[in-house]
Amino acid sequence: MTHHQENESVKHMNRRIKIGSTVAAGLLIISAVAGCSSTSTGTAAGTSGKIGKIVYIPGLTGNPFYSTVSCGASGAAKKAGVDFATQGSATFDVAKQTEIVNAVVASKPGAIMISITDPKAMIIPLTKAKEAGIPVIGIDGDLEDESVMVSNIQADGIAGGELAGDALAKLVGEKGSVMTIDNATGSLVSKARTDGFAKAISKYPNMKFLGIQYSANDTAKAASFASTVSTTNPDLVGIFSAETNNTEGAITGLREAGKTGKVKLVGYDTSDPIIAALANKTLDGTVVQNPRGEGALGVTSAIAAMKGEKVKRQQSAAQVFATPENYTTDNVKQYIYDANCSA
Amino acid sequence: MSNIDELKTASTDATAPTASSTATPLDTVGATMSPRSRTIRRMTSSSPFYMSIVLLVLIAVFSIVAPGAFPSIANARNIITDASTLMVMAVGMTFVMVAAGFDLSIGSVLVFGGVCGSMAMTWMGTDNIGTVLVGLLVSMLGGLAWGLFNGFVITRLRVPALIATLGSLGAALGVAQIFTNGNDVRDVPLTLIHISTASFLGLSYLFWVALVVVIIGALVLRTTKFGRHTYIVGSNEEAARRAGINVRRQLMMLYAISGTLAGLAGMMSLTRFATTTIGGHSQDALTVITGVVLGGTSLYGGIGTILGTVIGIFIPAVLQNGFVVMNIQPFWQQVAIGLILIGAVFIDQLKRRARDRA
Repeated sequence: MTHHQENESVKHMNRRIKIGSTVAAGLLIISAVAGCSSTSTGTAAGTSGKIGKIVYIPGLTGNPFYSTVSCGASGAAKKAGVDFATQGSATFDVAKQTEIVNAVVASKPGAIMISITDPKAMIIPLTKAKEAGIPVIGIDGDLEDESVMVSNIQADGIAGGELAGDALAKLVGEKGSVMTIDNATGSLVSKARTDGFAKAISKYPNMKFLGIQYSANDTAKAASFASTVSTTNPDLVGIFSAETNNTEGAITGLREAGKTGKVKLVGYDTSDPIIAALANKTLDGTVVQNPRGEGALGVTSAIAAMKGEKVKRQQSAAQVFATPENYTTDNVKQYIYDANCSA
Repeated sequence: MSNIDELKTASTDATAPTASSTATPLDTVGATMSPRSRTIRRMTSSSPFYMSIVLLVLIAVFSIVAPGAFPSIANARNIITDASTLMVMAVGMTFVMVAAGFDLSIGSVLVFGGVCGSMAMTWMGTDNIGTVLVGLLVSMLGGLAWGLFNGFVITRLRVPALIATLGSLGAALGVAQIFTNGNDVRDVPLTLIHISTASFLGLSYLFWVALVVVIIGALVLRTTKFGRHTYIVGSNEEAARRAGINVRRQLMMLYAISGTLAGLAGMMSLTRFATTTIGGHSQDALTVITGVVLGGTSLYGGIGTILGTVIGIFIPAVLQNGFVVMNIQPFWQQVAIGLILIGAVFIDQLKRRARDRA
């Protein structure tokens, strides 16, 4: 090795160590910062003397369901003359939501409405809110410790999953294999839906449940699951996607695999592209909740709790099954999401 | 020029595309071999070579275990379509990493590009191929803007690439959310949806776009002065500066390329899903970096090829597909990719150590 090369090699090595440690440190931070730009879609509406501000913390921002909850809540708050704001993280992440809850509690709001990311992990931060005298209203999910929240407003996920399962069974003539695409393990809301679906399918002797694939809320991954299984498993006749991103991904995946219509697709929740997919029949149906109603109910419950009135512990909102045939009827239309608060 | 050639053989031995007559440590070992066997030896000891064996083994194993399902044209088409968007970003990442840089921002820049493109198309209000081309241009310009921002912060403000692009990872997503109020943009022109369902020679247009990007990227990196300068900057920035290379300008252009390709990927994603999928890209940078590193690009710069990156991107894609086909619990896929990544870098380190001893 020449002197020149040796010099290079030493330099290279020094740099290597330096870069190496930077990389390691960076990768640690990245997971923390990756999706944490929190969005405030605050809408201050009037000022109120006695009643404090209501803050809604969604599971993540940019999700049509949560955005429509926020719209419904914002409208109800405006009507009641109460301040309202939304604070959330861009990713569905327990750690990020914990940080946001802590920050919101520190700002001393009158009440918190929250769509929890985890039924166990969120107990501690929300208990702190309760201890600070801030009533907590759950939207679309309860904690395992039911003493923390004043009330939980939630559609029955098991019933919704069964609704989807029975509808899919009917679509495929009650025979063949079906699979589920879900976000991740650990969410009680999703688990109720997928459990309800599996329960419904088990009633049909000629149907086989292939199990669940997890997309981590990644549309591209859901598309890949749908295209892969539909091309490689000739027995597959139907797919149940438990959330909007997965439904949108599955529509794309089936289209790319040329299986649209051959493999039936049933989703949960809606969005503009999902409605468009119902219109052109690339989607066979979807379970629709009533997020606007849940948001409004959340605000009235929060106001009642702040005034010291009694609030019903479990409140539910109805669901419907939207199909290409019925989605334009008034009965179904009122359930369709509206993330931009246009109504 | 001779100055640059000398530097190149001194520090980028593993990447020199042709068998050079100047003695590098590996060549010294093979001094008695014919030039041809030396070339073969160098080829077979390269990371892309190992990784293509890994890829072939994976394909073989899945084909044997699931003979009726995995090895089919339809399934290969699935894998290729899935990998297209990541591939475009991976080409940009390879350029940046060969120059010893890093770009964590691409997932957010993708979202930003897609949001800009879709907003431009909505604003125009028309629905023809011209609308889509304007959307594409705006999307790529949006990506370019973040690339130039990254380049500026890194070369002029001297913020380390890791931190600079970590910052823009958050900032680009934040700006995209400010533009859209946090809601996915969902009204895209019908022309775009028609493009997503159309195909050429049986393959989606997304694949052909990715293929063109890969070919141009490979040619530029391997055959042009710009490509050579990229390797030299990555091997030894100081030496590159002394050899008269404008290092700042070079890095600026590399980050601009990475940003622009992420903007292009944003338009591809928009075409595929007809929505901006704001929440779905926080892991893109890590997925792409995993592919690039699997393909033999060194984290320390100076080493890497586009061919290697193509192989590296396909390893996780094939693994995921195979596991789904076999209906294996999906969590195993992450375990497998993690271990293969660590194994690949370990082999790379062993080779470096052997070479440093020689």
